[in-house]
Amino acid sequence: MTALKLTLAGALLAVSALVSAEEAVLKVSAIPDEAPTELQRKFAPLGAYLEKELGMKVQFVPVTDYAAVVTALTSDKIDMAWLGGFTFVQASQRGKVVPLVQREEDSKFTSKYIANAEAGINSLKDLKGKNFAFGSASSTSGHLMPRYFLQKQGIKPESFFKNVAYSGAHDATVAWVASGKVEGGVLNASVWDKLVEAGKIDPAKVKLIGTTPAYYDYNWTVRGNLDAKLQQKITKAFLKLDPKNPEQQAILELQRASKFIPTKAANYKGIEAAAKEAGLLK
Amino acid sequence: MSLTFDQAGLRLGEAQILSDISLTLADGEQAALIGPSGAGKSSLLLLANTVYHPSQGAVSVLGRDPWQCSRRELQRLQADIGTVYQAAPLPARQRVVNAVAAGRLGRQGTLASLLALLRPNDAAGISRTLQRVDLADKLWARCDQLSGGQRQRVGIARVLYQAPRLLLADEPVSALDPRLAEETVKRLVDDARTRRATLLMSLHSVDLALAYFPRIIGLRGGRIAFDLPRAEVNAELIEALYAGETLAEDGSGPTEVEAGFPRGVRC
Amino acid sequence: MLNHPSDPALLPRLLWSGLLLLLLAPTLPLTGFNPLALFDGATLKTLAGFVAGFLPPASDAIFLGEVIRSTVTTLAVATAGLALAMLVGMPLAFATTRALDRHALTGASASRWAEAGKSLLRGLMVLLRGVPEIVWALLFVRAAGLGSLPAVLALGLAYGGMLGKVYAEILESQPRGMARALRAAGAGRWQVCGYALLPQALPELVSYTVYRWECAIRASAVMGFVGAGGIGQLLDTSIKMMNGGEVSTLLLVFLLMVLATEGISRLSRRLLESRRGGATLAAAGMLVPLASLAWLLPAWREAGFDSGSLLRFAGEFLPPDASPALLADIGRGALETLAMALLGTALAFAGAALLALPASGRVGRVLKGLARLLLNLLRGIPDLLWAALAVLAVGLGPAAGVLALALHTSGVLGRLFAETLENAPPAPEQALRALGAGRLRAFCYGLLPEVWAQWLAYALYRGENNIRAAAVLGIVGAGGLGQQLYLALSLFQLPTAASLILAMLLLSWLLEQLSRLLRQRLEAAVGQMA
Repeated sequence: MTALKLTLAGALLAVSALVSAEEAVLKVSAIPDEAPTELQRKFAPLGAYLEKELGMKVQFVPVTDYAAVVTALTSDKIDMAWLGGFTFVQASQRGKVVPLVQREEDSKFTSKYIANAEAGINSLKDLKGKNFAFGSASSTSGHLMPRYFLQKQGIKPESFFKNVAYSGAHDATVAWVASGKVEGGVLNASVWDKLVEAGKIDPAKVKLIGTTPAYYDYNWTVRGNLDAKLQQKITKAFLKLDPKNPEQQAILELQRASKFIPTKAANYKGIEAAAKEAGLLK
Repeated sequence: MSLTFDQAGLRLGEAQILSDISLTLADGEQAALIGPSGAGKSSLLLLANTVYHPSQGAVSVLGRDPWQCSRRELQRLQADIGTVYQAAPLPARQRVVNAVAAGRLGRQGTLASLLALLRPNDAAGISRTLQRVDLADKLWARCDQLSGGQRQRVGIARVLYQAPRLLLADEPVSALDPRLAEETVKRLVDDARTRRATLLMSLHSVDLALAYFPRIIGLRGGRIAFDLPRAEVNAELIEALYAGETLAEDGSGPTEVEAGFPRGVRC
Repeated sequence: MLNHPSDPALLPRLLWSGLLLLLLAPTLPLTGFNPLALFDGATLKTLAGFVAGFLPPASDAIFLGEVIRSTVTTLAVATAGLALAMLVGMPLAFATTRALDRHALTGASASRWAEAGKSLLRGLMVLLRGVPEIVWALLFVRAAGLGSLPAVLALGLAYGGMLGKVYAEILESQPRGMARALRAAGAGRWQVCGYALLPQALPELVSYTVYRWECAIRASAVMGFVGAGGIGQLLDTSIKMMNGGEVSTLLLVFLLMVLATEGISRLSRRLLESRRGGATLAAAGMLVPLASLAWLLPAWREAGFDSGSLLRFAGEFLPPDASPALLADIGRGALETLAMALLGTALAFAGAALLALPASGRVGRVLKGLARLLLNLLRGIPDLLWAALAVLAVGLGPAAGVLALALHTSGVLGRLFAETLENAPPAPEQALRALGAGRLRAFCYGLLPEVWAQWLAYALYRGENNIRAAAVLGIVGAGGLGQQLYLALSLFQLPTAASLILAMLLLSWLLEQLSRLLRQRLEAAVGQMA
């Protein structure tokens, strides 16, 4: 009857897992606009800083899909998320969320059009009839705003390009263009700059062919029913980050921010309108 | 010489099937092979049609040693050897017209053969051949729509269509009723005679052998028991040849070889 | 002299070939599949670069730790999902099987209400298994957020519908004598089931469940592609980032996992036959799901489960969007899906025939081994996974779907084709060789007629499967309805998603009717010849 005993032991194990104790944790996530390992690397020092400032455990929940972050935040699975402009609009449509802060850079964000260097492409017009990659379909800088601006220029992606593809993330778009899988693509300017600085762009393979007009993008948003005092504490912690303090400067650098500034939902009305115009929001 | 066995023997695995077989068939000669079941009649015929390689001695067919031939030469040689099997080896779902046309595959190029599968290129000739076995109306039928006897006659039609210089037949009529059996043997004998082809036929029925063949070869235990003109074969010889054979079920009824193919494999 | 009628099969053959060509021709522009593009310089260079990146497989400690954890999660999800499916399927089977009906057993008249209830339950099962598990997973991921719970729920529902149907059929296929006697003696549904049917049917029930468990593991491994955790999620990321080393490690782990589960399932079948094996199997059957739950629970507890939000989410699907623009889009997507399946199956037929010849041992033992290995590899990697890889080779869109279906189906059909070749009687071909026909001629006249009809039947069956598969391949970017569904769900356009799912169900239903008709005709033809 060892089988029976083992079964019972297993059952006990399962039950004990159910009732183990709980402690206060701030669960944070981010839209996966870059490789998950990169996201974790970027977050680690910020997480440690927040733990110290808030006096509670901060846990990063990795997610591989933009829409999943929206669902997780609006169904209270996570407390705070790094959202793009479009994902923020989606989240505020699907539940109560509060935007806290954004990077100074986010108020005048841009996207970069890139092309494969060997494909003989010098401008957007040369991409007619070629393959083109956006980032994630839910991305603001990788999809929504470039699409919006393209349409303003009279370019309807589905008919202008031979094939419209979604790479899923900004660095993936660069990899696709570099490999020649698609001739052109568009990505977040900040990721582009970072890749250029890190020497991860081979100029023999990828070249810049244009920049979009500026728009509002990313922010840090919490779920609406998060304790108001905690919300304030988080905002304060972000605003306090000082570029003159070397330790905090490192955090800002990883976030690619000169400093954080308060933000409000009204900043993203433009995005909402663009999304409606581009047919991505009904 | 059409067929020469020189002290030929055949060993399959552990069993010695044939030993010390020596015989010669001249061009146009006709001989019947008789003997109890298990005597090695089929194996002898398979040695003659180059399917088996002799383990001892030598076999030469139509003046050539098949085992010295190049592949191409061997195929050309094989095209001149026709075999009627105990049960006609026909794919169940093949159409009669293709089954008969297959008789000339040895003389036809690959491309022509494949195209003929789409559109038979000698339907008239095949139809005439089928007429000789009373199956003219089955030209377009599928083999699995025929009775066992009809299938056997398709197999014979294939050999007639092939028109080989050496015709081998392994109990070709055991699946047919007596009247049809006799007619079929007569037809094969006549065909061989008019084309001056050499004919070696194993038969279960001694009566048929004695009625149609001038030369009778008795095989027992893998060895030649006698090889005599018809006139010299007497009742004692026959009795000695078949001595001890139980009245086995072998070959007396139509051998139903239903080509089975897998069905209903759940994936 | 021409006293024979002309070939009666000529015209039908021409018509059928013409029809096939007519159907196949538009698939090329529809899917944008260009076989030549596979071999053009740029593609080959991209591919070579990516494949070169496969070596060496990634083996740093952090990554390997992640792989091991994900693999365990994948196994746990499959096991827990199957356990849930059994909980769903068993009562459904018990309630709907005709084997327990009083009127079927004793000739009493059926109660109209009971029959109506059963029809309702059967409809529910059709719905549960009609929506592919990956679509269920995607829906739950969108509704419930992250982690492995959506995957378990998806498996539970999709496989629950399947198990319910098959369990009921297995019970129906048992000899009726004992059940009839018990029923006549006044025993109820429970008693007849417990005393007459279950003891007879148990081995078959268990063996089917184990087979499903094998399938569940493959399914659970690809569910990560929609964000439902496990090894698929790692693969998704690595493929997107074009990290060849990680992809090759993950593929190796995946294949090992599939091999291991095949081994376990074979072992459990053997246990089932041994006398003491039953108890061991029963204990394992209890213990493994519990261990799986224990592994998964901490993450679930953390994520929490909110059935209210699930309901709200479900409500948002209504009413389905029926705008003409969307219907036109769906029509295009459905056409693309059909084209992908048709072209993929046709290519697979050719590939399978080419591979089956060496795999059946016709050209030497070395090639036989190699061909078998290749077939197992093609078959072992699910079509969704092939699609994710094919997206790299030929870019996003239906062309990748065609390639994925062609590769996976070549493996499946190739194995079946090789089996029919091995089982076919060898005599006709040997006889033709003996009259001087070359290898190819002898094969085409002696063996091909024997296996041809069987090959066509297999291809038809697989083609039907492939339409269902093609409908979801788009979830990883390979065109068709799936791609539209993925986009709609990513953008939270739920009424659009509802219409797309309905379209998938409709397509699958139409297909079932069509193939049933075709198969009846085929069986009639086969019956006629036997």
